[in-house]
Amino acid sequence: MLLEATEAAHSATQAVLGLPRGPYFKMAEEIGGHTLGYFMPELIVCFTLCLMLLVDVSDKLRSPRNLLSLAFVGMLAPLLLILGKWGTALFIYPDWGNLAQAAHFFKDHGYVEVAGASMLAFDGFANFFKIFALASGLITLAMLHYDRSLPRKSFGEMLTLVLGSVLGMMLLASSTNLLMAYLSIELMSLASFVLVAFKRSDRKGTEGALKYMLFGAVSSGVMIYGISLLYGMAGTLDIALMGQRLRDVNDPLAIGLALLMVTVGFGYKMSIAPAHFWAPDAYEGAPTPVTAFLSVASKAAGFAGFIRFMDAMAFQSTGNALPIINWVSFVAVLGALTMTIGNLTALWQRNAKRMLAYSSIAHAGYLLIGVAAVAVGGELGGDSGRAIADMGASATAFYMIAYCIMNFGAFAVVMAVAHETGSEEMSAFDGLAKRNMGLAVMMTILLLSLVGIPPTFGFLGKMNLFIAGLEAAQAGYPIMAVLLVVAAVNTAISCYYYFRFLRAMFIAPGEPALVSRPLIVSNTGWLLVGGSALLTVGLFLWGSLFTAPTDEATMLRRTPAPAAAEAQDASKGHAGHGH
Amino acid sequence: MLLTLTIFTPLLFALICLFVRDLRTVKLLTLTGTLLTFFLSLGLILPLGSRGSMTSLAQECEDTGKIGSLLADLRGNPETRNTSYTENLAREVEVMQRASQSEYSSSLHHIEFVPWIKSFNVNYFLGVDGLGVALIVLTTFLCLVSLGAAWNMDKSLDHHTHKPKYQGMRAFFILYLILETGIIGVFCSMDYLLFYVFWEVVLLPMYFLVGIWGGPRRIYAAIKFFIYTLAGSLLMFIAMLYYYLATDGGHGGTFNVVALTELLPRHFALAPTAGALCFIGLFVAFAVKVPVWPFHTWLPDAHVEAPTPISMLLAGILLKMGGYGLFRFSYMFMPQQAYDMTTVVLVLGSISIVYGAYCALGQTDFKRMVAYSSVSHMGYVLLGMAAMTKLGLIGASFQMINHGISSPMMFALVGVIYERAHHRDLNRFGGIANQMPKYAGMALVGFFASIGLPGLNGFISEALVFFGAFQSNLGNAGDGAWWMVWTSVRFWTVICTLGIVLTAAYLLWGYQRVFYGKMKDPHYKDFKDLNATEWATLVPLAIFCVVLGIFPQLGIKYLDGPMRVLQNNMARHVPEFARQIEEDRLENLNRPAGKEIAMLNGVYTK
Repeated sequence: MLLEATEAAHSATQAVLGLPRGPYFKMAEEIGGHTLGYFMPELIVCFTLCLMLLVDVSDKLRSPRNLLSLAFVGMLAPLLLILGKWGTALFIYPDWGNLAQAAHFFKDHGYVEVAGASMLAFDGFANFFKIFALASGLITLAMLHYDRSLPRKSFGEMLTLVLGSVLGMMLLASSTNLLMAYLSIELMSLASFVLVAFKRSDRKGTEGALKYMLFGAVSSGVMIYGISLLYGMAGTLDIALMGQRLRDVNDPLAIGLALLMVTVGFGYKMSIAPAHFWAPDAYEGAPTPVTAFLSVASKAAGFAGFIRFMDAMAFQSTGNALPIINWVSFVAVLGALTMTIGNLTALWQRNAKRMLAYSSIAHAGYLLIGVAAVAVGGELGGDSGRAIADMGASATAFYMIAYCIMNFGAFAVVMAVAHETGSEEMSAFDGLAKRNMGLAVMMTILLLSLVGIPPTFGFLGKMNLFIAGLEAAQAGYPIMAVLLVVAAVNTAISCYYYFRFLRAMFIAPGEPALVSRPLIVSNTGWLLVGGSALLTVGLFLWGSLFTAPTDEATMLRRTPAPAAAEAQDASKGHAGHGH
Repeated sequence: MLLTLTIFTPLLFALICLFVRDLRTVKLLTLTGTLLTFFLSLGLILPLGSRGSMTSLAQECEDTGKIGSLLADLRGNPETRNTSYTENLAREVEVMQRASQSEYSSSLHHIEFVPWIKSFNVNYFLGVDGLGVALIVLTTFLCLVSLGAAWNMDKSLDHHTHKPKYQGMRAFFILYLILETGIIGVFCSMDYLLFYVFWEVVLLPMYFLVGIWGGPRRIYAAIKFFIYTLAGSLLMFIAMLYYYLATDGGHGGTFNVVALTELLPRHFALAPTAGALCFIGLFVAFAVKVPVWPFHTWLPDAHVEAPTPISMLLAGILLKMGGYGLFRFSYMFMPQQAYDMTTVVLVLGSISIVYGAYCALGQTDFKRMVAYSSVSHMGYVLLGMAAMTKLGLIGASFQMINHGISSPMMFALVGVIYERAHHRDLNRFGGIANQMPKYAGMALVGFFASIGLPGLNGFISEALVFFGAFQSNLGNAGDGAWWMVWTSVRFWTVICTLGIVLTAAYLLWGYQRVFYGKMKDPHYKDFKDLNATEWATLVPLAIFCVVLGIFPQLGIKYLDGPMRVLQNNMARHVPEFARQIEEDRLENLNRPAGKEIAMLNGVYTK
């Protein structure tokens, strides 16, 4: 798998370097009727999900081992499929008129295949987040395998739910239609509600799941109301088209309100303040693998959906109407708020998982720096705006990879400790260095990465975000500079609570009876912890590895920009027909 | 290659130590590692002495062909010819070639250049000039010497429980070696991102070394040290990224320090506000490390709580990282802003000198007194730097070296007595000189070097700073309204002389309280005089105090070049400063005694 990934990264690098992508080009008509191939990864996940339910019924087949391998294959296969398609697939918005004409345009720009669909985009951006969801799903499988506290009997249900959730994330990453986006969010949410409450006897879990669900119900209600308002004004649910049509609607209050409502729905998935209240309880109550899965994959999917949505809706400076939402200030303020609340609250936590939950809220805040840069780019428009927006999106994607690695690793350490001590409190970490030096050192590396201190991958991620933010600030948005300073201060604050782990592990004496007993970590545990820690350092040293793929992710999303003139003409023409 | 070896030898030994269980072997390995590193660093001096074998940046670029051939390959291949990476590299080479005509780059030696993170144009770019070499040698020397203070730490018993006081000493030596790698890396990185990486790498071992093996309030001290420095370095981080974007010509900017020195002054001439903000950010980052009042409050805590060898390294080298940063980055990248902020730097430096000394006077804890003396002594670095005269700059950089020798010696002396008395209260000592005459003798050297007694190293640098600062015409030096005189360097130089008086006061008073008078505790009768490892720690330091006091040229000859580069760089980008230098030169020539003195000097040196 690593080889595959390396190869894919290599070919992506080639693509970024401007090398020819392939010798052939299919006309849109040729593949026009056969776009189902692009949907294959999702279909495989869906199929595996159904198969899993069937296997789970049979007493003979339903060993955890079988179920795990089934789920593993069911996620690895689509991942490889998408990697194989990397840099070739592309989506064209349906309302751009003549598909063939557009296809010629993209041929000139070096794309190999062009396909059209109306609900889903199969562009690099979607591919990136799909791979991300699948990879997180695979890591979650390993963590579920590692977690001994889970009831083995109901393993099948658990894996089915994870698969369902991953499917929702994949769909959300490619949704170009608000209804589709809404349905995907519901799909992943419903699965995760159950996942959180999986230990039925556990009061904390049930409480967390209840809060999670209530919040989910409210925010998706608000979101669907916002969507209906937008539909009423634009007459379409297609995101790109909606963005263009809303320019002609002269009702800033209604548009602003509707956009705000939809943002609530995404914000809940991203767990950004003030829609974050569910997160700590759900994260603390859920089984640790689920917590890691939610805090990484589900958040990433939320960001993917939000970026696509916001990117299409950022039209303030060009439209005649001025909606009340100024995306840049809005996202920047949300970001500053989220990271500050996350970090300040984390300072007071005594439970390791809860602390990491708040830290994950803070990280959502850092990620919003990249999103704010996307907003700046959208507002500026033109080539320079596009460049900034791409930088922002690529930085967000890049940080997401770093965050995925370090967060899964940190949760794996919490699990390893909880296995032996039966406790997820900070005090369980006391004297860990004496019990297992290797684990303590790995945790140190992961924590450094979470703070963003070199030599770790988290540092490069943060650097990417800061570069994007500064570029946006230089384009004449002082609020971005303020956001960066707030982020810097927050990083210093965060170091205090992350270092409580270090203090506990290396400095605190710990209970003598416990400390004398070595802490044993199983092979899967070492694979998870050691793998993520080594990756954190290794990817720092090989810093360019993921830059190319994340850039690629945004390069393909860039499609509307070079085609802007043509596309607008085409869409206007079409819109005229439509009304 | 030599620089890479010097940086990573300690790390290599740290890795070996990871697999060794026996503490004694680990100790010996650490000793071997630091000794080897020390000799390697001595090798760095050689090409500076013999100018024949020096390789400049330009030569390195063209001769070794590392980049050149890579670029040729990329250009030769039709597939890679027009890629952004090729263009980046071409631009980098162009900038380096342009920059290599500058004085700055020809003062760099032992250059190593390997592309690293291509998407951000980050390179593994190392090089040293005289200042870097002096600080690297100081580092390797101190790491070797401080080992003496760490050698018997595992045998030292707790005063009350009579159990070993320090546990897990294996990890101590491993972290010690990692720390050394980080510090050497800081002093020779010529890529700003690489510098930042090493800068942060230093923090974590330090956190553990203070936090695990420190005194009673170690946890508080360690995290305070960490957060202060991290907050400062984050400001530097933002400034660094700004530089990267500011030099962006369409294909990403650069982190190359030589290129930045060329490009940034010109950029900031057009963007003065950004320049001022960047200068403040960088200044705060380095001021925390120096430490300058009012960013100094972490220092007394960290120094007091740290174990003796770590206090020695903290005072000896870590503070110099701040001074080095100011010289190498703040003043080189933003000469105009540095010139504009002369008064701010000056006032902060002066306050550090006087306030640090005043606080030291009030301490009853021996170690705390020494810690505050560091604040005071590092203030001279700022004073000399703000003056921007040749003598002032050389004095300032030489003060870094000298403080790097005398202050570790003071901490080693404190360690000796603390090991025996288990307290550091100045008022409870007395009469130690009778009991431990050899110790008292060594202490005399350390104390007087700190005071700045002629013949010892501290005197030379402080005198140079004062001469240089009083020479300086920066600020209002008598040709403006009289009430603006407080902006002048000369005014503050006079104020700073107060620091000398206070320094003499607290050190002599401290010496008196510890060594003379009546013995206040009968236990002191049992104290043994210096043992072998303590001799091994103190004697090399004392020798350097004397040698550099009598032959200061040994150190100054390496600092002369870099400081001239610094001054010329400012003169090149700040017209007012260039005018002032020219005026000063003429004025000096026209002084009645000027020519005669020059002649006499010529006679005597012949």
